[in-house]
Amino acid sequence: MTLLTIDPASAVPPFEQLRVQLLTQMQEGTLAAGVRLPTVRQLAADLGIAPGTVARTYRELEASGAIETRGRGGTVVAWSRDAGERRVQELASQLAAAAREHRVSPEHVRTLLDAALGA
Amino acid sequence: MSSATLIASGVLALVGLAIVLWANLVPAERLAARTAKRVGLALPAEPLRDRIVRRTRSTRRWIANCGALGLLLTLGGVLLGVTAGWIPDPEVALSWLALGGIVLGTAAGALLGVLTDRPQLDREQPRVAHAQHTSLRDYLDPIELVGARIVVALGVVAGLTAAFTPGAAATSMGVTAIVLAAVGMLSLVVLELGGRRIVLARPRPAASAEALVWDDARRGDDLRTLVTAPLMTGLYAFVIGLPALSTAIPRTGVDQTVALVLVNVGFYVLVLGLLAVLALALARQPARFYLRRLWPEVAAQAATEAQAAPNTSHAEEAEVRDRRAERKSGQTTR
Repeated sequence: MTLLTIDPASAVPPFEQLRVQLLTQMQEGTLAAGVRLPTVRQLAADLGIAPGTVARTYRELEASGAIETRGRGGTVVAWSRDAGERRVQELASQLAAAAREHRVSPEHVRTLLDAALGA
Repeated sequence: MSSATLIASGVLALVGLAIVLWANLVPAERLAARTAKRVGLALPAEPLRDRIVRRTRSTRRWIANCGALGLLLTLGGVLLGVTAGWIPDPEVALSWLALGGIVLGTAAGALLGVLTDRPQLDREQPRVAHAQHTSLRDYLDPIELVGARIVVALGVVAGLTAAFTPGAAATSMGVTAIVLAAVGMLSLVVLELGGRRIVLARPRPAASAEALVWDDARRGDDLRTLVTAPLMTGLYAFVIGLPALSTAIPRTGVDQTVALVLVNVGFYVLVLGLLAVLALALARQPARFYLRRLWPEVAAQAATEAQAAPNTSHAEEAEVRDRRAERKSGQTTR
């Protein structure tokens, strides 16, 4: 069973602890695509944190395409290697478009990208 | 009212008293140890152990007291029905309805036990929760969950047949089948709604994986108490309503002899089927279903330990035998 832990003594804020754990479990395959996550209220009550904290985690994961909300079907894992690659491709296109728009040279974009990847 | 009815009522009231005494007098540690064995876990160390023992005692008391209350209310209802002339032959109805009252009472008790439980949350301690959504299917074996729905549907068919078969509704068996079918439906609603919205929806603050696995065990146990009510009342309604079905079949144009044969064969097939399902259900250890479903690694470990246990006991026996033999040989030498 996949578990989530909140450590109140940690310097990392609870929403980030949750986000990192969920993402790691998705990447490791322990939370497979299509698996339903607990509701915001349920997870907040179980972990003794504010519902807003869990909602923020879910919002950020949804924005990154790792999870999706399906109405009555609840929040489900949408992360997959293919989906991740598609999203990186999409962002790369946006980056290229932004670079052309602001007349940033491709060499400089590569340097910026290398620096970002190195970080 | 006949003396047989009064004696039967008295015996059933004593059964209710015995249930209450049992739950309130048996030491909580023993109840918790029995629960631990049933759910396939070892009792943990303090302070979790104390919480589990207290919760087990509280749940048992709620279940037993509400079961006994259900029994007493049913007895009162039946005796009122007899006085009013609705139940002409109370000796037949009494025991079946009393069983229905007990199981519905225990289901209500299980829910009240969950509602009155106040889980403590230590905000300084780490907290652990499931990363996946859990549902009734994670705690109840499909034999129990699907079986309860099927059995209640059968009971309702029998109850409706009894209600709409001229003459059947006026008999004690007919009234019992109708009441049990209604109780079966009610208890199925209690399971579906109470199970989801109370047992599963209640917060489950756990400071460790061990606390969480015990919480799952408790939830599984509570849900199994809830599922027992529709399973039993639906089954009773169906069995009691069979005579009504046998009288209803000839009205469809089928020959009465053929109808009787059909009903008898159907009854024996049902009994055989039920025995087969019961044997299968017992073999599958439904009380440990949650463990296999939610905690497969703990279930595997428990299975390994269970396999090792007989070897350990054999080794212990061998050691005792060796000691006895040594003592004996020492006495002989002397």
